[in-house]
Amino acid sequence: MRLVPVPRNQVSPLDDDLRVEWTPTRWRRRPPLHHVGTDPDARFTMANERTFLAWNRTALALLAAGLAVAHLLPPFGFPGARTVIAVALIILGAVSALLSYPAWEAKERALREGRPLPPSRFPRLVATSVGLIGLVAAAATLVRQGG
Amino acid sequence: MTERIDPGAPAERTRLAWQRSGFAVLVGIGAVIRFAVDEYHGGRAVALAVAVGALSVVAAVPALVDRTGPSPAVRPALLRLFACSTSLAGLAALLLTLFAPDAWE
Repeated sequence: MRLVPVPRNQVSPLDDDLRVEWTPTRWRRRPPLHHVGTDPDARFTMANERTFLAWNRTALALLAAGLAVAHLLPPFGFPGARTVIAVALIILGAVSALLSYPAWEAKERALREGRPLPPSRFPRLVATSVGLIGLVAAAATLVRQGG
Repeated sequence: MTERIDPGAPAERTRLAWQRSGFAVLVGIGAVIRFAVDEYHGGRAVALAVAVGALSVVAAVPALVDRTGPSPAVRPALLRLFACSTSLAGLAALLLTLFAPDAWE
């Protein structure tokens, strides 16, 4: 069960059985997903699940790419370049997998409660990171060819 | 006039997505096993092979279940398990890469 911070002025007496003391911030247990709202349209639920799976496949692709860079490419012009690129890809993959579940749950909760879907900065983060890693890889390749 | 909702096609697409994910597990994480076999002569590859097998089974279960009912069950635990397993595979890949004998050449 996940814990979310709640401002003190939003904690009602009815929440006492769910509340966990955590000074200086109070924390509240989130109710299970199936206790929230009503069942949404099955198509939306499944689309959300497919998005979750797509993020996990992206994560697996990043992991495989990282391993390929580390162990299949010849060394670059300066020591550790392969490892730096590989580690960045692998960390990005692991973070993608880790964050895919909270993103799915937030969207599912919003669907069940009839709220607008929460915005996510994660696609921008992944796109920016992959772009930066690509630039570093291009620079390392140029250095290798120049040397 | 009410719109008739047919979850058949979305359910089928979702089952196919689970199949693709299982295949990605086998291909992507299979690379980790291959690397571990090469670098560590199979010592640590056994644990990774077990993890990959378990992850593939997790991905195969939803691909086999028919979910065309009016309210397809949500399985947060299964999704959590899948995401955590992928993350653990990432951690294993990270450690294997960092501690590879030629990591800083």
